[in-house]
Amino acid sequence: MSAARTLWPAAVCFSTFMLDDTDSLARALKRRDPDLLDRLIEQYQFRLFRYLVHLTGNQERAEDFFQETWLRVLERGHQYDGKWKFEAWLFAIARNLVLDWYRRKKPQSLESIAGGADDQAPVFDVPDEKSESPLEQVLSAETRAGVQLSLQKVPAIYREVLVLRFQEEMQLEEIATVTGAPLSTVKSRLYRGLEALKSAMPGCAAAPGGAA
Amino acid sequence: MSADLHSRASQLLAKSHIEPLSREDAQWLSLHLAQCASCADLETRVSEALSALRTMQI
Repeated sequence: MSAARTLWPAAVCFSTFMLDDTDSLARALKRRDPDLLDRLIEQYQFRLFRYLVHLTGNQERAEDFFQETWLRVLERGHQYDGKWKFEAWLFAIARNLVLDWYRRKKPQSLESIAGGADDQAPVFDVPDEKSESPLEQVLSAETRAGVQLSLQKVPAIYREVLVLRFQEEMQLEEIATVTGAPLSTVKSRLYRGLEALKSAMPGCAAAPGGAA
Repeated sequence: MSADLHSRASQLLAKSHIEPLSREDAQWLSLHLAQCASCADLETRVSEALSALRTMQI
């Protein structure tokens, strides 16, 4: 009974805080709780992997960075202070790992990385959306495939903020945290990214009436 | 309709996807989209593309 009474408060403490409670999460990360890491991986694995695929343009490489990112979280979890949402911190770690790799491979920054056309393009499967009819699924898949192709034509520096904003639905301030760029730069990149995406979309090359 | 109006609409449309528009700009854009089929079509396509991004699978 004494052992149960000893464990019980910790179990309650663990089960009652949500992963979006950043202060509690920061304290738990400082304890290097392996169960917590499992929960974090479960919650963020898809988004993190998708982001890494966009960053690297290569699924196998993204898998390597995915593993490395979680190892880094385990090692440096104590550095998370809960000031920002966990995903902003997580994505910043992933981004820095990718940038370090690119710099080691060839001295350059993400700003100078090309659109990834020469790399293996990410493969996107048709999602299982039971709410859509087969025809709707085909049309949705075509739209997604078209957007994916257009997105690959957008320069990496703009594609990154588009993905963080419109795929990960991050706030501008969170994107600034992930990218380490000032808010004004984030906005500027988003504007340019949207313009580049529009230009890359078939039939959207120019504004109506001939305006650029 | 002049190219300047379409250009302004295009800029405001982009801005509306990034941050809130002022009430004045939002009203102007809404009116323009109601009168300009090509700008409305462009907005629809961009919005669809951004929505597709959200549901994209790996």
